[in-house]
Amino acid sequence: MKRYVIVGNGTAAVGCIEGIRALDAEGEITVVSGEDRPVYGRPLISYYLMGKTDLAKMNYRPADFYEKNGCRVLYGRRAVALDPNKKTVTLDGGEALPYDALLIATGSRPFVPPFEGLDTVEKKYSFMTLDDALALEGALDGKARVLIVGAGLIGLKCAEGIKDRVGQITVCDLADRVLSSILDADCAAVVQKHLEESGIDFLLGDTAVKFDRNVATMKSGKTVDFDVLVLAVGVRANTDLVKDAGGSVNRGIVVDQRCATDLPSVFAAGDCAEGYDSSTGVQTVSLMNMHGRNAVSGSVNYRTPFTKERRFYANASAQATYATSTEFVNHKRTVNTFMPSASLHVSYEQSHTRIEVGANAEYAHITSDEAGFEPFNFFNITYGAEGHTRLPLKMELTADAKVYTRRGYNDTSMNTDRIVVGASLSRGLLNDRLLLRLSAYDLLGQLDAVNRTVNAYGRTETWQNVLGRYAMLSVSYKFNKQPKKSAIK
Amino acid sequence: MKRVYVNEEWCLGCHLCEYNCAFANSGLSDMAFALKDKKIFPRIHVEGDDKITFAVSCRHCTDPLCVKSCIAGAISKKDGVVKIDRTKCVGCLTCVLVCPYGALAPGENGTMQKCELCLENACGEPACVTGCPNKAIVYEERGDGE
Repeated sequence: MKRYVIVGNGTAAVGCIEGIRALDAEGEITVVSGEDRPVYGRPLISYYLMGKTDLAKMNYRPADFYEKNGCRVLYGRRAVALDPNKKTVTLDGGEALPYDALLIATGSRPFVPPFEGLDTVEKKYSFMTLDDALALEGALDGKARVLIVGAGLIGLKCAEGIKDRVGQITVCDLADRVLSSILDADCAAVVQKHLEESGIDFLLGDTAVKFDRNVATMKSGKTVDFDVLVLAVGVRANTDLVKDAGGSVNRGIVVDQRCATDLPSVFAAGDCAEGYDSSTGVQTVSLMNMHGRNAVSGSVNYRTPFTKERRFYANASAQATYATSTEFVNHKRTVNTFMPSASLHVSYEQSHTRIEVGANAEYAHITSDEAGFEPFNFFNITYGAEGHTRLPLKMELTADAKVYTRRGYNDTSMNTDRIVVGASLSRGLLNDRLLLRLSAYDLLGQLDAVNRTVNAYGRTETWQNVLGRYAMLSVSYKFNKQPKKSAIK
Repeated sequence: MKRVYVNEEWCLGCHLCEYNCAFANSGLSDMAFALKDKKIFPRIHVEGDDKITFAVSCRHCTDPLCVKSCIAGAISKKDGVVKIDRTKCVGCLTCVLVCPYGALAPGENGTMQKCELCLENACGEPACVTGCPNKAIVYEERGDGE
């Protein structure tokens, strides 16, 4: 039986528990929970202060979650060391937990810069855990003046959560705008205006440098009086366990796309980990990926008999297409395709026999503004004959032969001549209700299953699993049941 | 499992499903009383343009993004049905952002709501399906795809 140890008890831990149980109902799961409570929705702490939820509803999973998933949870305990050779995690009491697979889901902690005089401030809080929120709630008396250092998501969610329970809120940030890590100046101005309208004051491009009991001195020299201080400067990933054990750590614990660290059987997930972002991908800097396609086409079609007996017919048609394909990945690229085509067919028709010879020619001119994209032209020409006739013994024979010729491709392996021959023989029985048909296609086996197209990236090849050469016997039977005549006249 | 599907070639774009849905979830017995002169909050929405229309509701995905994204743990999947506990929802709209089908939307009280196949109300079977005049909306088994 496999032993799983999860250090941390947040949403990443829940994902891990559910993931393990989807594959392994037996293994032993131990969860080391630093906080002395079951998993809850951390982002809900601002909604809790706002009164939109309560402590019972904040549980991220039902009360029987751990029991149902067979997890042992060690509440209020911390992992202090990791030994990847012995495969053990040492807890704060000195006890060592052996593991076969270990998940580090330790999250992050508030970053508190070394402010001068911070220890003289009586009511100072972080805003990350439920304990933080409950402590802060104790200081909300309806008229407190609150100074929030940091206009990021944490600082602003805190402001939103407490604004109706305090007298005044001032938010300061060294950046010149709110939410500077995720919004540009235009968007930030909209958000700031909205928050100001609901009574929150901002001191931007300026931050606290010194505290003296209830007075903060700003970088600009301004002073701000406050009763409650909330520090929301930022967070730091909790990476020490892995770092001390010799694993790779950057700003977070470095993981691959399977969340594996470079220590054997040690994985990391959530705020403490750093890796491939599947929503953006590492290779692309832009999220946009658009496929645009505009096409215009026109065609003419003409068919006429040209002998008195009306046995010979000529059929001519012409068509032209202009298509534009545009795509945005990193930058815009456009491919324009101009493709005229024409065909001419001559047929001879007499009672049960029909013979047709014809040709179809297609030309394409492809250009792009993409650097390194050489314009190219190619021809596809198809010509051949097909015929249909009735044989003795009421048998019907259809046969066709076509030559597919391609010219002009840079890839010379594309410039081919392929001869495709097919035939089918059929016989109707029982007053034509039962039809037997033996057909064969591509008798010479010359078709390939590769389709090449051109889009904004250049050329793509699609390999299809088509049946090239085949022979098939089919049997069909018609019941000839007609619906009853409608009463409506 | 059985899901609600729409055969768009039969959808007339009449929006009746939206009204049947809002009525089914109103808990009231009189449709006129429940909906007349009120803004309705259906869990199915007719989308499209002047050429094609189709009603869209929750697909009850095999691996639902909304369940993973919910910050309150209010959305869960049980017996194949994706459900939302509206008493836990705080209205953060994350599920609305992530749902590829636009199947979640705020209800009259600001918490999110979604199609739960009429299993939680008195209908017993999806009201959009029963009330569809052209039988465009169907409730059937089509395998386990998304």
